[in-house]
Amino acid sequence: MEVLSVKNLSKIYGIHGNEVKALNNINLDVKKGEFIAIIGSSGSGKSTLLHIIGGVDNPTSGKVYINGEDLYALNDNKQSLLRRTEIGLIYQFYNLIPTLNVRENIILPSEIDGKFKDDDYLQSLIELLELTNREKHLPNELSGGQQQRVSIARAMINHPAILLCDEPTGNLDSKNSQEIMRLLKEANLKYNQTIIMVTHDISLANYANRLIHIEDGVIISDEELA
Amino acid sequence: MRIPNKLVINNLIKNKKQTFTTLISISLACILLFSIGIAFSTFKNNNIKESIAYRGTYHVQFNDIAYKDNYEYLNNDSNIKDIKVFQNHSSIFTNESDEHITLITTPEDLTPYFHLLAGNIPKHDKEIIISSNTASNYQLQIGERIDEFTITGIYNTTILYDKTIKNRFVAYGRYPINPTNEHTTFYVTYKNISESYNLIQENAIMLGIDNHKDPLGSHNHISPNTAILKAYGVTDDDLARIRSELILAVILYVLSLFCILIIYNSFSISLSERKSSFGALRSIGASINHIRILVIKEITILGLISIPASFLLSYSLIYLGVNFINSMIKTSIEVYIYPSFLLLSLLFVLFTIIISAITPARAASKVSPIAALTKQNNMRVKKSKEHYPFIKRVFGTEGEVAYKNIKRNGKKYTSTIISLSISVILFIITSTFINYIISTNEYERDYNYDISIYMTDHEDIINRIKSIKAYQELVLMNSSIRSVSSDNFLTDSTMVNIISLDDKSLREYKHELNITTDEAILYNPSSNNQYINNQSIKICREFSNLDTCFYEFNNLTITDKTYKDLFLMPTIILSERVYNQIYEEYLSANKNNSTDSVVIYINSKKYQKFDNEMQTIIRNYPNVEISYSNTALENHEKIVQYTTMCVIIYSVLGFITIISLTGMLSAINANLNIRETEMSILRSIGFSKKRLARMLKLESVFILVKTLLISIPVSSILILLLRYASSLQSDPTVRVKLIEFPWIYIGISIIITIIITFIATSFIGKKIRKKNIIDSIRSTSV
Repeated sequence: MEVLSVKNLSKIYGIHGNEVKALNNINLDVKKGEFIAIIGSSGSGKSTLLHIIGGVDNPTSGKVYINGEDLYALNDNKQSLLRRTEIGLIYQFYNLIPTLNVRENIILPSEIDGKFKDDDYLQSLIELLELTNREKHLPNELSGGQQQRVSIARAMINHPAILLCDEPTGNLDSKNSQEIMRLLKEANLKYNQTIIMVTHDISLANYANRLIHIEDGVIISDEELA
Repeated sequence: MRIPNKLVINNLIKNKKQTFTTLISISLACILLFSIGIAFSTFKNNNIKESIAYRGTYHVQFNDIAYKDNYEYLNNDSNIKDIKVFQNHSSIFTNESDEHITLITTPEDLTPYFHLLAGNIPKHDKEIIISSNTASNYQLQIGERIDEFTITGIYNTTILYDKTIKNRFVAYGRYPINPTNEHTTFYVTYKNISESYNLIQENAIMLGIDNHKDPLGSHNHISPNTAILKAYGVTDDDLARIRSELILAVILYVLSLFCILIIYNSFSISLSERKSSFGALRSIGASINHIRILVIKEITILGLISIPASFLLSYSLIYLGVNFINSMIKTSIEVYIYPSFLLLSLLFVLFTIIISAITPARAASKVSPIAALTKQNNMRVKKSKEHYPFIKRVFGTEGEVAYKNIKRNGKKYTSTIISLSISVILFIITSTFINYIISTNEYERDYNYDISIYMTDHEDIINRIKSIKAYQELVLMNSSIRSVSSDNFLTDSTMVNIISLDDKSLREYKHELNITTDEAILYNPSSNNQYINNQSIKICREFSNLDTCFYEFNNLTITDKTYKDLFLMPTIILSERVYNQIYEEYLSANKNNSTDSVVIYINSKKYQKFDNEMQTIIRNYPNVEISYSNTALENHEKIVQYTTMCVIIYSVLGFITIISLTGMLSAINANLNIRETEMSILRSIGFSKKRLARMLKLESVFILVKTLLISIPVSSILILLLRYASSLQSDPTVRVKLIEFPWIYIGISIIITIIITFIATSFIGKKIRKKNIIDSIRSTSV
């Protein structure tokens, strides 16, 4: 069974003759454990697709199923619940809460519902993402690469079905970029974590095992990588 | 602590400046609301205390009715809390004359009803207390007996105001109830004061006294204690009640609207600055409800800090204000808070905070995650005209950009404009009213003197007044001879006043006129009838009847110069000696045994000391009719009252303006943060910091101009309506002073607005200089 299924998804910006089709009838199925890289030129619609899959933007038409659940047929509470349990979002600019420390930022999605209990998993994530001794630091006391690792940990804390990464290395130097990609790959392998990553850097796509190319809101190629 | 709670606390602590600004705004609004509650509570309590001291705690008197049956009926009425019975016992006679004193008796302890001057309250039968007036009238002293009753005390005032015994000399004694008494007064206190007037009506019907009306239209047998009822806000005048309730409702409505706008503004600002945080939370799975709960928790914490703090501050402010009033106008007001008022103020404050917080909380929770993360939602832009050539020509490109921003993004400034407009409108209207009240109560002196005393000629009193030594100038005039006639004026008959001046004043007057002889002076104003020189003037008993003349002046010094503006019509001025001689003849010629009257005019800088002495003289001579007017003291009291009123009202207005200004500055501050992206773009295309600051300063100028464009016409229309209302009156013969159009206050408002603009623009300049705007351009992507 697919973890993610996108059916006839379209997104149109603007109104009354000023319309721009960001996504045009996209269909996509993703299986558990897949690492997908979506590439395309600027304005091709790749980030829009990721945001709609992540439930942070609304489609104009079409469906998004996550573990068989129609994301946009749910009310806000259920959609939010699905977002924090089944989806992990990672952005270029980390979007950490500046007033919370590393540990608090990571466990925040769990604490929204109740008390966080899975300390072993947290420790393993912290070790995996090499954030040991940084737990009490505030985001502004960390480097860009460290902040991005915190945002990856935060995205993974609830064992999401899919990890959605929007240009996760876009704000990092090449050394840190490689490091982040290595960690994502490790997470993919260690936890069988499904990852969909949007990037314009074709070299980073090599970490994925499936490559989707979008242009003008349409999938123009979808290929398995060795 | 759970992370979401920690998030709330950390956010408040880490964003110290914003938290502090929000707290200040909420606290200022709460202080305003609490202060009004405490002030109302204090003045109501003071009013009640004064009314109780003056008229007691009972709600109604049923006067002069039979004891039998009526007591039983009242005693059985479940609405009545307490009944005190006072009976018209008998008339007791003094030794000296046939005149009697009315003895009122009660089985109650008399202590709470009287303020004693001397002696003790009667404890037993045959003991009485009398008023100081009665004591002075009959020369009675403590220990003396009237009939078989012994005087144990003399009282100064009593709260037992019984109009059926008004103008009578009375004594009070302690006596058992006489069940057959036909002249009993019941002092009734109801359980529910607010129902008093209905219950009075019901009781009156049952007692059979509801139709007994005196010529003045008030019930002779029913005397509601209007002082205490009014103090509790109970009135039988529905129209007055509705009017006062309406005024109160309008004041509360305007103030609450003002406070809601201020708190709403500060919450909106505080939350809008954190939209990206909410976006981040939404993106990691926080629902609308989660965000709402976070916002509500934050608002609750801010409320929990600001409510007690503002309550304590309000209490302190009112305490200081009351002490100021006490020291200014010699009152003894105490700050008091009724639990109900406190609860009401608290509920009102909570209601205001909740209402103010709902919209920003909803807006914050509904923010689209992606829009918040990309800061798209901070500026809601609506379409406006492409170009404003006039604005551009006057204020340059910055002016046009600023004007477009206001036009497109006007909603952000609505609360600032409304709160500032309310400040300006309140200032113009209250100032106009204060000015109107002061001008309609202008101080008028009697001629040119501070103090005037009219009374029957009484040597002792005059000597005592002369001995007060608290005046610079005293003019004594005798002026009882009224029937004067003369055929020597061009017109047929002219009334001529005849007065005497005391020796000192007469010497002064003669010196002014260069007269050395003892001749009488005729003051004949040039505008009045022309006196034919060298002709005599006769004094007659009856006006226009020369047959009744008994004295003739042959040599008169004529002048048109008055003495200190004291004479207005033709007047013969004499020395006291000559006047007394004529007066004797006048009395013997006049069959009516009239008494001479004197007028004393005094100028005194020590009018307070003079007043104290004069009050003692009046108390010591209760039987001499003395009309005493100390306009200097009244004027002083009025000035102090007006000054106090102005200080209080302008303090409140100043406070409201400070709140508005705080709101405006925090709006500007938030706007600077929200618009960092826009500003960074402008910087990147070549706008210097100076031009950017100029653009933002011009936005403030446009906001304040808009404030004036709203507030001045609104207050002008309101003033014109009030002016029209004040010109409407039932009696066309009475000249009414119209409310003046408030040009001055409009001018002052404009000046204050310019000052506020200056403060705001300086604030913007400082902020812009400190900001590293260009950096923010990087943070617009996700």
